[in-house]
Amino acid sequence: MATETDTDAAYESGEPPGTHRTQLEMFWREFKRNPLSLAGGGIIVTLVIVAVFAPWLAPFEPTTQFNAPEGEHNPLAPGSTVIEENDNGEVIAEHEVLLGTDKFGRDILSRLIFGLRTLLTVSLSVVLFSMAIGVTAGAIAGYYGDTWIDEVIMRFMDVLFSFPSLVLAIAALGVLGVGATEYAGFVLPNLVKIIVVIGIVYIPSFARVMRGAVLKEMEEDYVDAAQSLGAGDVHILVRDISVNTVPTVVVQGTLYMGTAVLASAALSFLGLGIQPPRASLGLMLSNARSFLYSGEWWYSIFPGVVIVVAILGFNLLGDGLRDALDPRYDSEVSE
Amino acid sequence: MSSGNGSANATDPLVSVRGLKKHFVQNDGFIDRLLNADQTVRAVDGVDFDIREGETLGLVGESGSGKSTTARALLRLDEPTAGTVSYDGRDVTAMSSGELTEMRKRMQMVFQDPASSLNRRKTVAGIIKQPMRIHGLYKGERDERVDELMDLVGLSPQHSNRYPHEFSGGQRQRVGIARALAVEPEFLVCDEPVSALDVSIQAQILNLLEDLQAEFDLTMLFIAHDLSVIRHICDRVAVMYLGEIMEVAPTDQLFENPQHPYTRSLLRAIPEPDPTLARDREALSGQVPSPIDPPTGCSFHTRCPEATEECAEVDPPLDAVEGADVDHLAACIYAEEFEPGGGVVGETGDEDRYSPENFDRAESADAAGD
Amino acid sequence: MTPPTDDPILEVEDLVTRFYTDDGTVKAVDGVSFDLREGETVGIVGESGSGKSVTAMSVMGLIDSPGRVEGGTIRYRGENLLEKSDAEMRDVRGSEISMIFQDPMTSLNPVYTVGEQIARVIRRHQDVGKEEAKAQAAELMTDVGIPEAESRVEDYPHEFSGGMRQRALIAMAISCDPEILIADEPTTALDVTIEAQIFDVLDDLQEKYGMSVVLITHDLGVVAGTAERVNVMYAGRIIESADVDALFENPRHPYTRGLMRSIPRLHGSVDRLEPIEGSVPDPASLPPGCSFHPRCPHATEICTQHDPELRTVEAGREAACVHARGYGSPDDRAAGTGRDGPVAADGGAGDE
Repeated sequence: MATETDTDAAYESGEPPGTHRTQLEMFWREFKRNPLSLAGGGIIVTLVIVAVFAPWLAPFEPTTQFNAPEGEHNPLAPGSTVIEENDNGEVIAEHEVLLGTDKFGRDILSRLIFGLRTLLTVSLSVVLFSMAIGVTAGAIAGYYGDTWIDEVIMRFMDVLFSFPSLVLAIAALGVLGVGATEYAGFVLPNLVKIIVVIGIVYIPSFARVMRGAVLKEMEEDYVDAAQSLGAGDVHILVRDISVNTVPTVVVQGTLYMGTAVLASAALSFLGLGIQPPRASLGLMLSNARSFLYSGEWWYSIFPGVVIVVAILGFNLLGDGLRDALDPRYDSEVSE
Repeated sequence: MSSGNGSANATDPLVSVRGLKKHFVQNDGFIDRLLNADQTVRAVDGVDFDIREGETLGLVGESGSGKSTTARALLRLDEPTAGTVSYDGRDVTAMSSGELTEMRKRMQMVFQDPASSLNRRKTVAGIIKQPMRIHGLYKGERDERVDELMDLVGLSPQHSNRYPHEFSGGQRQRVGIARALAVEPEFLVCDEPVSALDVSIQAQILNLLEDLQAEFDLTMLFIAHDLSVIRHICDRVAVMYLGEIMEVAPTDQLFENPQHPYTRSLLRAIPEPDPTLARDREALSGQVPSPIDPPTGCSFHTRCPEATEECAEVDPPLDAVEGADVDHLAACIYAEEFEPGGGVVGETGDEDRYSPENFDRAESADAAGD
Repeated sequence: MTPPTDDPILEVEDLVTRFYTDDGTVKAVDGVSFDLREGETVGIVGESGSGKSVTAMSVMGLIDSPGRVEGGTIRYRGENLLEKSDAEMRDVRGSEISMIFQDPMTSLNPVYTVGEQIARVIRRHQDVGKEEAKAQAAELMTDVGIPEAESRVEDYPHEFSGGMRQRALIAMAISCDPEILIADEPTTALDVTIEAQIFDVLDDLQEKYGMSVVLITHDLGVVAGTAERVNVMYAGRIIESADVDALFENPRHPYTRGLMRSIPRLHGSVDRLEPIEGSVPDPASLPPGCSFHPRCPHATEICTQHDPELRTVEAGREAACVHARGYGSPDDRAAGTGRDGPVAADGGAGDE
């Protein structure tokens, strides 16, 4: 196939201008710029590490109940000493509780750590659940934009969207029952229930965002190019378009983590979520209510702070991701 | 490159388009549909042409002419509203999706916007491999094929792991061409392939396309709005206006002896890079009418310097011009008989004066030079 | 066409504009000097990355971070625009120096009528009421050839075609009778038949209002038909400057020559085109010596070391190439420093 054209043409186009940077490098450079993004990232990374290494980081079991020393009663203040007794009522050991105890004598710090773990797990599951369904639906709606398929899917999403999330959750749990419940021999785990009732109202957001992103990509010529090359619809959606929508979806997911954290904490606060004796930040807040005016501040402040920090972290991270993943780095080299 | 296995014989055109129409319905939703206030954009409104094997047909027109839509409808990127397209004797418009996919190996497209036509999140190698993957070809040797293709279009294969945004516009366009050639097509549709490129790069890409056509015996449909570009690369030219073809003729013939008033106006409006000629530029009055509500009769009559009352009533068919030496078609009731001239004089060869040999060089040359 | 007088109404000298990006400092405009005489049309020709648009934006004071004008002077009627404050420049823009941009489709605000937008410019610089401004707007629209201007004043941009929108933008630009109009690729986005109309309009307006025009374009055909003098830019510099007839007759810089040779023409031969090899260099990392040398058929050793400045090579012509006849020795800076012709060879040339 070699003709003289080949040798002449070889590299006649010149070197590609600019330095070679992978997309990851470019994203990171942009992301680093904003101190708030880094703060958000730092917070989340820290929280995730704590959650993952909970069994090693927590000083005690979250469900172990300690006794208060003579003359004192639970909940104990941070820095107090607690007494560990065996089944016979004899004193085995004494421990210091860094952040105090709750009304059952359980170590607050350990419950925070394990509670955070549960909270993050549930929130992540919620987001993944609604993302999976929402993104798929949105992709199909966008790809077949302005056809009946699009209409049907999006009107269904509109219905879902009209539900206030907490109200729906409460109503659903009222029907399904709180905690792990059994229906004709089939056990529905509590976690699954929580994830679904919270997550179901987030589905439309992901669907809309994905639909918008897909519609935008459909304007690009590379979609036509793929079609003209003979690619089928599924191939184009999955291998061409989706890749380009990942940043948008990731940003949306990160921001919704914050919302999911708040929702699942709220659900637990109402007693409808994570059931005792399992550590739950929302439940701790609920129990701490009766101690608000008697001065046992540690019971409510610490779980509250953790929740706030987590939500803040996700929001900062989400905003930072969105700014860094902007089409800015799809820009031209010259001009 | 063998021509397909259709029942066509060697003298039949490779591509044959008859009565092609593409209408877009524009409405603002449910209520409009109810009230029947649909607005139909007649982007392509009855187009006929043939493309012979090995030839390059140019499709030229301004915005709203429907040239891009014609190309897309031809490849069924947008489904035609009416009409037939046959390729190598087979009816493309009636094919099932399976047959069409098979057909897409033989007909490929090069797109206008080098930035948009390449998936920005894929490497150049991935982009060029895509057609191979789709059709299951070159298994096991795809990387070699990618290198081969990049070399062919003048890119360095060692950059195959880079992303489109790292290349210049001209280089990206080369990637697009490499992709189009990946599965060895016979027919290439080039939709304004150089319009988005810098002037000095246009020449590179045009030369490349010409070389590739010669090398692979390609048949091409070349779409452009720039007549100067068309003149260089096309064997025959079809001029479109408002969804219809106004004139078809071999290139030289069209440029020297245009028979249709629109073609003449178009030629006169072009700014020639020569001050002595450029001042003769003449503007065509009026605006392009809306394709939703095209004029009655001949669609050009509202702007035509030679229009008469009859032009508003009769929509002239694209007919052969009598007395021309070559196949010359025009859609004008006053173009039935051939009238020579009216176009641009052919080659003047003046740009020899720009060749390096004629560079007004300093006599002493540089003392420190090589 | 009224012949231009000899007073330069705009003098740009050694303009330097840089963009500070993560990928390095881009010398978008790297020492550009040119004049505009009253009533004249000067063309600035270049491809993408040449710096032509940035030059125009610098003159208008529209350069924003990460860009900054770093040096040089821009004298409008003797006053250096670069020394003016933001508020003073806002007064200059629109009433003294106006600009029209490339894409008429996006240059108008879709939520206001065209009449309102033109009127707003009028009221910014003149002390007139709403009704009066609107009446003026309608008049201007007629001036630029928009039919039925009285009623179209109430129309929104989306009701106008591309060519009509550009006319509306021109109306806006000339509404306060500016001395200078800078047109940055005004017809690139328009069809060729509409383009011809727009240039007819600009021609008429130039005569009627006595404007001087800086026309920025990549299209040599456009410049051939419209400009009296042409500056050719490459990689942030002007590499050739001449009267339009002289430039096209015999360009003195290899880039200009390459450009003219490579474009397809209606009247040219249909033989193989002769492109300029290679691509435009990355503005953040220009080649050493002459920026054009990697692509130049005449490049020699000295071109890799010496970055030629723009010099007079003949009366009324300048080029930035050591191989151009009349350029003189590369090191001999005193052989000519610019528009004012050769200076005595014993150096010590003044600034003017």
